[in-house]
Amino acid sequence: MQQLRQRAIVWIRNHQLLSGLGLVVIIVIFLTAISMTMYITSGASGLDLSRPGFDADRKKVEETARATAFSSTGEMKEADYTLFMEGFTEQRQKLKAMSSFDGQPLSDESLGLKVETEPNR
Amino acid sequence: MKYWLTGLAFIVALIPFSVSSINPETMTDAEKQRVVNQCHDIKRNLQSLKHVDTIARVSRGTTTTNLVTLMSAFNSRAASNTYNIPSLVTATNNVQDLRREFADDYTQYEIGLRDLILIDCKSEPMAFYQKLIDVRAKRALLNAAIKEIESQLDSFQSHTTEVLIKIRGGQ
Repeated sequence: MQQLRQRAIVWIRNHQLLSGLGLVVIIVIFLTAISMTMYITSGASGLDLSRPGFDADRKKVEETARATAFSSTGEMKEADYTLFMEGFTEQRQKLKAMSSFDGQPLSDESLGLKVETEPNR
Repeated sequence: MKYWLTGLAFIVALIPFSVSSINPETMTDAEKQRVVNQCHDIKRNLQSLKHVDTIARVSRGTTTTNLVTLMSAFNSRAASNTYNIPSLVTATNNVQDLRREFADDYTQYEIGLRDLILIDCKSEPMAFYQKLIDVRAKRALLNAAIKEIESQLDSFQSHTTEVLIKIRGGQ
């Protein structure tokens, strides 16, 4: 065991560049594993539209993201109020047109799990 | 607010189960067979739902952020013009809090849906159905948060007229 350790130290001393590169690769793999774990467990992966399969949807989301700007400073006249209400109403309409996460897609009926012949429990 | 929403979502989630849903503890052979037979289609539907939900979550999050930005700007500008309406600030803060709760609840829902898709419904129909009920409850929380956000936006919108009255009154 002692002899093996000694040989390893000698090999590292003789191949310092190669040993350094190997160490860097190990560190990179370790850090990547940590970041991937965090990416998945935090739920960020579920919202990442840069993943394959979301290419077509990305543009739609970008269009939805556009919003009218409203300055937080300056005089407040009736025209400013109207401008604000236009932007506010536009965003609200967009919100109303989106999925409300209702229970229908996960219902027994939607998933084809309703057994017609069985009495309701 | 969180407890109120959880309670509401729990009641909402229980209503359909009490009238039509299958009890995973006492599933009959016919019900288990139904899950096994439909397994392939269910998985496909759930995968598709996961895709649609991701887009809905991102779009909803962005639009709600836009609304909060607009509302905060409106409040600041109204305040700097001495049109102080505390109800507007309260509604804006509530929307911000609810948006954060929605984001947290969505993470839990998304993890639940991902786990549900990973369960083999052909060999484990009961475990699959039990998890499905859990995911339904998590989805009900999202629906409740959305309704509460809508309610707070309604409240904000109705109180903005007070600012308009003050502008017209030249106060």
